[in-house]
Amino acid sequence: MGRDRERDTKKKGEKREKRPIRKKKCKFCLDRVTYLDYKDERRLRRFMTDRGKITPRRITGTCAKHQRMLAMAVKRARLIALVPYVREYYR
Amino acid sequence: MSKGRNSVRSYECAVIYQPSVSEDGLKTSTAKYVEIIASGGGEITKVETWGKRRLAYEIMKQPDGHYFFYRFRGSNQLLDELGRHLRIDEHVLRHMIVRDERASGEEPKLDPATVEPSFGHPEEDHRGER
Repeated sequence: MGRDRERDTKKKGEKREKRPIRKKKCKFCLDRVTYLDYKDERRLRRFMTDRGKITPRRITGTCAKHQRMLAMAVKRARLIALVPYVREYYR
Repeated sequence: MSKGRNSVRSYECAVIYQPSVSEDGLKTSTAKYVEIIASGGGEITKVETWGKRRLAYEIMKQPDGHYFFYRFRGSNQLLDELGRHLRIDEHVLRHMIVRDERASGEEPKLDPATVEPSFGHPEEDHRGER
C-alpha cells in the first residue's frame, strides 16, 4: 500500500529522480594494455557479440585507441580461424 | 625498432596445417620453413605450436587444423619468399604474416638446424601487458 502511494505522487508531474550518468571506463586502459594480441582468443571474445560482431564502443566503453587495437586484433584472429566471421543460427 | 626501406624487422608467421598431416610431416614442414627463413637472411627467435585445434569456421572443408607460429627477424624480401612457399604448400590451410610489435629485436637467435617447436597457449603470452 505504501508503495502505491509513492508511485502516485511521482506521477503527478514530478521530475524523475536524477541519477548521475556514470561514464564507463575503458577496460584496456585500466589494465594498461599497450598491445592486444590476436592470439588471445578468450579476451577478444569478451568484446564480441555471440554472432561474431565486434561490440561497439558505446556499449563496452572502450576508448578510441583501444577500440582500434581491438578491431585489428579481432580481424587478425578471424583470418586464422580463432574467432568466427559470422555465426549462423538455426531458426 | 629501426625503420627504413630495407630494414630488418620482427615478424610472426601463423600457419594452419591440414589436420591430416602427420607428426613427421609437421616436423619436416617446420624444418623447411625454418630453412627458408634462415637462407633468406632471417633469424628465428621462436617456434611455437598449439597442436591440433578446432577452427572457428571450416577452411577447405576442414574443421580442424594444426597451429604453428614462427617468430623471426628478417627483411621484406624474405616475406615475399616465405609467403610464396606457404601459398604453394598443399599442407597449409592458411597462413598469416604480421609484424611482431612487441619484439625488442634482441631476442636470441635459434640455430635453424635444431629448432624444436614448443607447446604454448595464447593465454601464456603476456608480453607488452601491464
